[in-house]
Amino acid sequence: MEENDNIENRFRETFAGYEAEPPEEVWSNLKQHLHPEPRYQGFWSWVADLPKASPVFFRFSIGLTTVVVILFLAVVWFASGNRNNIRGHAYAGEQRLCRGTAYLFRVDDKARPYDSLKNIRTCDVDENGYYQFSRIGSGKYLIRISPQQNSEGQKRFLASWYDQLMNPDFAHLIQVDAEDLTIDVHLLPRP
Amino acid sequence: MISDEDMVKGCLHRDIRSQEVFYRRFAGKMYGVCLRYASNKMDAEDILQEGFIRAFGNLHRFRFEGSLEGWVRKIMIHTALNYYKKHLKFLQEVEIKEAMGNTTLYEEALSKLMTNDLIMIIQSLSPGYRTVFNLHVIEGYTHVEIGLMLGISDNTSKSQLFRAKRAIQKELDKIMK
Repeated sequence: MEENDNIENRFRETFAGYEAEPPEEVWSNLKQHLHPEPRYQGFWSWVADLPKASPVFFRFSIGLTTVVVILFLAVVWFASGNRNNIRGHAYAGEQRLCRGTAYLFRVDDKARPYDSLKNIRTCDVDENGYYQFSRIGSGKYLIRISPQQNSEGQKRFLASWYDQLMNPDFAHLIQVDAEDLTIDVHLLPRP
Repeated sequence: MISDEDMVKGCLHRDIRSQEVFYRRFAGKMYGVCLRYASNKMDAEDILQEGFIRAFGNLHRFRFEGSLEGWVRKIMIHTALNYYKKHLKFLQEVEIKEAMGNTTLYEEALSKLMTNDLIMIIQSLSPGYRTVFNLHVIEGYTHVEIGLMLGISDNTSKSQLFRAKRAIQKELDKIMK
């Protein structure tokens, strides 16, 4: 057993406090593991990492994104062409109609009688007979105005199509292209 | 020189300079440990790297109640044990008297051998022999402790140690011839 003890002693003495120099690669790999190089992984990972960036950068990014979105929507709105207005007054005889309702119909048919008459907008007629439809796209339209219920105007005038007509098949077609239109509508007196 | 406490604090804040100081302070000794438990240098480097990753990851658990070096060393040893877990096969217990073979006069050989030769001899052992030999002879663990660490009986640990020493004797015989 003495030989065995010699082995133990020899190894124990040799390796007590034994040191060896590891290759530098070990530290390089370890450093890479502890502090991996940031790498681009696509837009969504960039978005996910935004809160980890500095708060100033985060707020700046959100602000910039908002401005870009607003500018984009403004461009789309201007490009859409829905920026024409139809305005005018409703007349009950020689006087302006005091309150009522104006209806705007879009016409897609080419020939009368129209099958595609579609009410797309309604607005109030004020006490001065004034009405306005804003941001209208290009196309063909008809307007109908009715006096307010139980008003003096309703007693004396009928709901009428532009202009002074009972039947939409004969109503004047309003062509909206690239400019604002002023359309005064006269109501048909009751017989 | 930065104190252990400041160094650990820096490491906990992921400060790369503190991490490098930590690594440089212990790398040499721990690489020495890894070389004894590994089959070759490449495995030793892998164990060293893995061990440091585990040390940095568990540094918040170190309470400064013992030596930092001892704590890191334990992590390295456990990392090495895990590294070879699949290969750790322990043979049946053997009667030590029965297994005792012919001994040779190898003291001369032992005295002539350099540290690197001894490392190579240890690395040539099977993982099971090598592990028990390291834990008992170099680290000073008892057979009962080794049994608990490796999930074997203390008699198996003794038997493995005996076989390990016999294998070393054979290597020394070869060198003598």
